[in-house]
Amino acid sequence: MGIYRGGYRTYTGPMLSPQTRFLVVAGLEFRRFFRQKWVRWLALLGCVPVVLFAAIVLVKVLVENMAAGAIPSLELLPKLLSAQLQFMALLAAVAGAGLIAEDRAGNALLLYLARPLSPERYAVGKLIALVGLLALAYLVPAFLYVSLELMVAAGGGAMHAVLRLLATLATTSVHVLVTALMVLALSSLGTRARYVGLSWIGIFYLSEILAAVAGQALDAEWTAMFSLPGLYRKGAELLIEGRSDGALPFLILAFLGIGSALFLRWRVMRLADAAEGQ
Amino acid sequence: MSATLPMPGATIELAAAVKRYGPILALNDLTLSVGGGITGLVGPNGAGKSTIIGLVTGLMPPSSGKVRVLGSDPWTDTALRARIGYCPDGDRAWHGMSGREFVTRLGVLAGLDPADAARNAEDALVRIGLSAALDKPISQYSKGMRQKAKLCQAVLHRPELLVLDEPLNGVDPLSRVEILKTLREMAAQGMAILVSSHVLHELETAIDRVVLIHRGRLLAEGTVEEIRDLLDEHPHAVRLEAQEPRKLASALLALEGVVGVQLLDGKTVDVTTRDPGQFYASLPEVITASGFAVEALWSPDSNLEAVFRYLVKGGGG
Repeated sequence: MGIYRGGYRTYTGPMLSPQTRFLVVAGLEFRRFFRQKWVRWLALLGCVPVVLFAAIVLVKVLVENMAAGAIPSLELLPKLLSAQLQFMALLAAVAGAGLIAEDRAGNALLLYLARPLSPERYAVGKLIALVGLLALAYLVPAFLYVSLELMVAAGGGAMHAVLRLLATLATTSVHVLVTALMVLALSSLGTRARYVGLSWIGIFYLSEILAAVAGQALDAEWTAMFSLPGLYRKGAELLIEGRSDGALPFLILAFLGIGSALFLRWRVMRLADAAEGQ
Repeated sequence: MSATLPMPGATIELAAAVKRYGPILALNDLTLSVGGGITGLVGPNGAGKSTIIGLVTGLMPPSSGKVRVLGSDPWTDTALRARIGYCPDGDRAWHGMSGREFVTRLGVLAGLDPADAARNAEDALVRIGLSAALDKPISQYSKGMRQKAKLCQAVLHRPELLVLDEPLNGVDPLSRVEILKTLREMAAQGMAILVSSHVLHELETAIDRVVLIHRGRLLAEGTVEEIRDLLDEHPHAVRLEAQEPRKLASALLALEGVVGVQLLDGKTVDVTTRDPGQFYASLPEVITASGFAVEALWSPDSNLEAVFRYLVKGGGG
C-alpha cells in the first residue's frame, strides 16, 4: 500500500507564497503558546492589574471628577505598566525561552529551513509570535487602560489623552519588541528552554536587585539604568511623561533591541550552517 | 576543475562543488550528476554526505562551484524547496507533538492549505502503518515509527525530489523493509530519491545507483552490483538490540555468510558476516519466524571506515 491515495503525482494545487511563509511559523507558535498551562495562567493573571486599575479609574471618575470632566489621576499608568512588565517578563521566560532552543534540541531547525523559509524569516516568524503574546500581556492592557482614560476625559483633556494613548502605544511597542528580541537571542544560545528562561529571569530580576542595592549604597537614582526593569520604567517616562531624563534609558533599551536583533540574525544563520554541517 | 554542470537536465547536478567549514574542507571539488530513480549516497560518518544533502536541499551554499537541483540553484531559489522533500537525520524532532500534529505542521510549512495538510497527514500516517499512534506523542514512538512519521512529513507536499539522510539508522528490520518498500513505490511512480547511508547493504535492495563518498571526495559511482563487488571483500559488522539476545545470536549464527556472533551486554549482539546482502535479506524472515523482538539495528561505522580505507588505497574507485 503506497503512502499516497491514488499514487504519487507532483502537487499542482495552490501553495502559500514563500514570501509570507514565516507567518505560518508565527501562527503555529502562537497557537502552541496557549496549549501551555503556565502561559494560559500568566495571560489570565495578567488581566488582573488592568481590570483593577480600570475599576479604580472608573470609581475616581464617578466619585470625584465626573462633574468637572477632568482626566482622572494619571499617575496610575506607570504603576499599571510596572505591574504588566512583571507579567511580560515572566511570559517571555515561560513561552519565549524555548522558541529556538527547543528547535535546536529537537533537531528541528533543518526541518524548518529545508522548507521555503530562510533563517531570517524563520526568526521573524518566531519573533512575531512572541511579540503577539507579550503584546497581550503588556501593550493591550496599557492600550485599554489609556483608552478608558480617553473615554472618560472631556474637553481639552481629550487631545492630551489621545497623545498619551499614542505615546503609550509607542512605548509599549518598543518594550515588547526589545523584550522579544532579547529573549529570542538568548533562546538561540541554548538547547534547554528551562535554562534559557532562568537566564532571562536572572538577567531581569538580578539586575533590578543589584541596581537597587547600588542605588541605596550610592544614594543615586542613575543606578536604575543598570537594571533592565529600570531601563523600561525610566525609558517610559520619555514618551509618556515627556521627561527628558528618560531619553538615555530609552536609547539604551533601543540599542539593546537593535543589538539583540543583529545578534539573532547572525546566530540563526550560523545555526543553520552548523546544523547541516555537523 | 572548472564549474561546468556535468549533465544538464539531471535532477541533481554538482559541478566542482567545494564546501568549507572554517578550516575544515567538507567537500572537495565534487562533480556529480544524479538522475531519476533511487540513488544511494554512501560513505562513513564525516564523509560529506550531510554536506551534499545540505547543498542539495538549499540549506547552505557551496563555498565554490555550482549546485543545481531540478534546474535551479537551491540556495538562491527559495521557492524550489517546495519541490523538494527532506527527511533529516536524528530522531529527536519535536517530541512534544503527536505524529499527526508533526506531519500536519510540516505540511503547512511546506505551503499546503492547513485543512489539506491535516487531511493528507492523517491519510499518509494511516497508510504507512501508524494509525494506532496518530495522536500519541512522538516521544512514545519507536525509532521505526519516528522514521515513518518523518518520511510522511517529507512527502506530504508531493515533492519531485525526496532527500533522506540516514533514514534507516537504528530502525528495526521490519520497519526497514516497510520504509524501503514505500521508497521503491514512490520512485516507480516518478519521484526522484536521494538517500544517504553509511551502510550500502541496508539500501541495496531498493536503490538503482550508488555514489560512494569519502572525505569529501567522490570515490566511486555505479550500479549496486558494481559497488557491492568492491565492498564485499571485507567482513561486515551489524549490531542488533533485542530482548532475547542469546536466542537471537543462535538463530543468526545459522545464517549463510555469518562468521561471528558476539554478545556485548544484556541486550546487544554484534554479528560479523561475509555476505551482508544475504544477511539483510534474510534477517526479517528470521525475526518474523522466531518472534524475536529486535528493537534496533545498525552498522558500526568503524567497520565501514576500514572498507573505505581499503578502497582509497587502490582497491577501488
